[in-house]
Amino acid sequence: MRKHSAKGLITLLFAIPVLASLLLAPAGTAENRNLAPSPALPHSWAETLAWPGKAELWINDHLGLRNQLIALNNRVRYTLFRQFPTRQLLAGQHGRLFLSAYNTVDAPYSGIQTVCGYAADANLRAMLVQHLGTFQQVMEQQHLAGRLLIAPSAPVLYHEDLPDWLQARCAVAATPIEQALATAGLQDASHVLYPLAALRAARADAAIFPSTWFHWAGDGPRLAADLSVQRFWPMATPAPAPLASVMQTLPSDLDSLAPGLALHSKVKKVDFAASGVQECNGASCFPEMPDLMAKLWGVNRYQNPAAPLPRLVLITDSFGVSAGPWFARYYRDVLQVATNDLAQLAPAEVQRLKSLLFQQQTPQHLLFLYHDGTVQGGGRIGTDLHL
Amino acid sequence: MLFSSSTFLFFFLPAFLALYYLLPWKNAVLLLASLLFYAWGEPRFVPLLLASSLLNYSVGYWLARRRSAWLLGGGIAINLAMLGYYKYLGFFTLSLNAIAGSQLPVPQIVLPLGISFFTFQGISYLIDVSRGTVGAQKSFWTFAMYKAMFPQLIAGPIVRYQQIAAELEHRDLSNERLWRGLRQFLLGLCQKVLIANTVAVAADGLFATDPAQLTAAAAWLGIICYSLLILYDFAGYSNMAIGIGHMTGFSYPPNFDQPYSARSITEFWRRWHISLSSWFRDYLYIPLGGNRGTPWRTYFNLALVFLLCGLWHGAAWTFIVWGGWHGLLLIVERAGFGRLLARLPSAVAQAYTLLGVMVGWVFFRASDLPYALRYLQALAGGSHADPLAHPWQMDVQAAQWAAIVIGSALALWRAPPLLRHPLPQTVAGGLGLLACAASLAAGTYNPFIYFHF
Repeated sequence: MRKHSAKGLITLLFAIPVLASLLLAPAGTAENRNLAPSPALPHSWAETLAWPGKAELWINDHLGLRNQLIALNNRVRYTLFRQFPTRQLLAGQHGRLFLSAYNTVDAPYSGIQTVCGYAADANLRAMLVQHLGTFQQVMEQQHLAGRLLIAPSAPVLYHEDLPDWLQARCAVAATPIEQALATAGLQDASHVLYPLAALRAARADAAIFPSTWFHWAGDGPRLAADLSVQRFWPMATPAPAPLASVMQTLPSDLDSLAPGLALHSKVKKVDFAASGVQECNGASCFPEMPDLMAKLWGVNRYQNPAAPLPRLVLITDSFGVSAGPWFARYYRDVLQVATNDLAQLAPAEVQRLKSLLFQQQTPQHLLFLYHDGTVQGGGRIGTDLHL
Repeated sequence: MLFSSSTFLFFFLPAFLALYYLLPWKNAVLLLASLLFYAWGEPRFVPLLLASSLLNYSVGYWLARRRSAWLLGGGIAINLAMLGYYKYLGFFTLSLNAIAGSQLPVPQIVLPLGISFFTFQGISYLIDVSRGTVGAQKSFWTFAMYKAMFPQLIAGPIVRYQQIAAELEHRDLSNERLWRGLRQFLLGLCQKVLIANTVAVAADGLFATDPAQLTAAAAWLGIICYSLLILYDFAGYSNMAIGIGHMTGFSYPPNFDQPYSARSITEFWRRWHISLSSWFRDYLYIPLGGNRGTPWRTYFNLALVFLLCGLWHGAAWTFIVWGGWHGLLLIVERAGFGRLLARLPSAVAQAYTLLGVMVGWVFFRASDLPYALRYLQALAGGSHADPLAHPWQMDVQAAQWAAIVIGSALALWRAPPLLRHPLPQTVAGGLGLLACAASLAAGTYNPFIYFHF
């Protein structure tokens, strides 16, 4: 036996993952996608040629101990080099993380350079001016008194936390949004707000973005809610008392890009109970059409009987999810609807949704909230909800 | 199927080893596994591989019985014709159209995996049989196994029949040999996954950039990364092949011997892709006369051999120029510069050698000759690029720096092995396997971020 020990041990060494997959329960994945299915036996020459590729995809997705190996790789890489397994994540300075690219096919650093304005040209500015104009036209045509809040993202707010070379690239006098607003004469308009300067000024005392998050949370949306209500619907009576809040240590919203890493941040959250606000998440919050709402991600509702104003409809991208609660300070009923999954709805369903959101039986305010990356990506301002 | 893939490491290899060690028909297992390995990537060319085996087996069989220059020449010609058709017909047609202004249709021919390797393998067999260096293999299936052996089939080393003839029927599978093979395999895997793949990110990013946007620092980092990439990719693969060879009882020849520690281009070619350079030496350079003739004849032989060596690497002018560049440096050293080099401090000689090799790699890596010339211009600081146009920090970060430092130290410094004793080597290899497996698994992670932005 000892004479052949090497044969057995070496074979066993390379068979460990397969044995693990047979002996251990299948592990889930945080990848938010369907893992490759096991390839069926081929029944034609074409299927035979395609089989190895399908088998490799299945093996890559179902390798034994895969999750543990991925987590190990990420921890070692981050500990030694402060680097991530994906170019979508960038470790900045002072412990801040940035989403470097919105997906794996975008150019590295495009998510940062686009919003900060590196190599932004006149075409981009013209496109933004056009979108802003479209928004205004659509609101007038549809007889909607909608307002537009553009949330600055972390690369423009925390410019000094970028790596030095990226800071140098992003050292532009004005971001593309700022330039477009200036070109269109909308810097002080009553229906558009891009509170970059105010939020930058507030950074010293407030955490606008948690350091390891892509989305704003806590003081960022809180201040933006205050600023937007003051700008768009200034109240004659004094502002109501701020909502009660609580500090929580929460995992990063970018966690799924680097499993195994504890990228936590302290985040200020609304203490709903102490504030007397009723929080409701998901389709059940909209009894008028739960079936339709079940198809959408990011739909929430907040009700505060003590608030002075009646109703706010928030049409948003993903930045609206953390902003919605803070508007409950002002509104008795806040309906926050992210339109990221609008393509899941048939045209007739979109019409039903619009009837819910834009019904005039109850006095309400209408606010469109997108972050600068969405705005610069084009196509949503003035056209969301098939407006 | 790549050696550095989960499919090979954790499915194919253990299944193959289990069958190979357990079953008595080792040649049959190795042949079938090799054909499966080849078919995994290119099933349509399995008949070509078998046809090449049949060709060289048949010609070798008759050459052993009757030494005939015509038979040998015919066998070599058919081998070269196959290679020429699949690899060079399109290139030659394009070049002819460009030079002569003709408008011949350019054939779009798919290149079979490993054809350059198994063609040269076949030619070396025929010549060795013809010379009487080795006896012809009597069994077609044993010969086919030799030709198709998966460890060396796709990327070498070019294993000559005479080097393993004795092991075709009787192989040593002692514990000591298998552990040695495992250690060498794991060394190669770490070279490939931990060093080559890490610097590849930087090399690819910098070489994908217009050289006019690269500062000198960025251009130099690019070529340093590429130099390390090609060394550890190739040497890593060779070590994996040789390691599997030992694990299956075969003694494949060494292919790399710290080539970047060489102190002349002449020495470089005794350390780089040894199986190829020795093939060209034994089957082309020496038959042409080698250095036994006049100096000018020697220079001609060197130039021709290295132009063909360049062409062997790829059907493009960049490879031919690369080969020609090395031929030129060899001629210069032969003409007297080599004697001067030998008298210089070794660090200076090594620096000259590295510079010559890296300049050559620019052509090897470039997409075309104009790009190569622009890249050389960037290396010399002639691009006058805006430092912000493409900062090297975009591509070279902490992990890449670690790979550059460690890879360079291991490549440049002829230090004794850090871990001499087999046990620490094996433990280090095991940790390396874990690190490589983790890296490979991470490469398959492909999350879909829900929030769409």
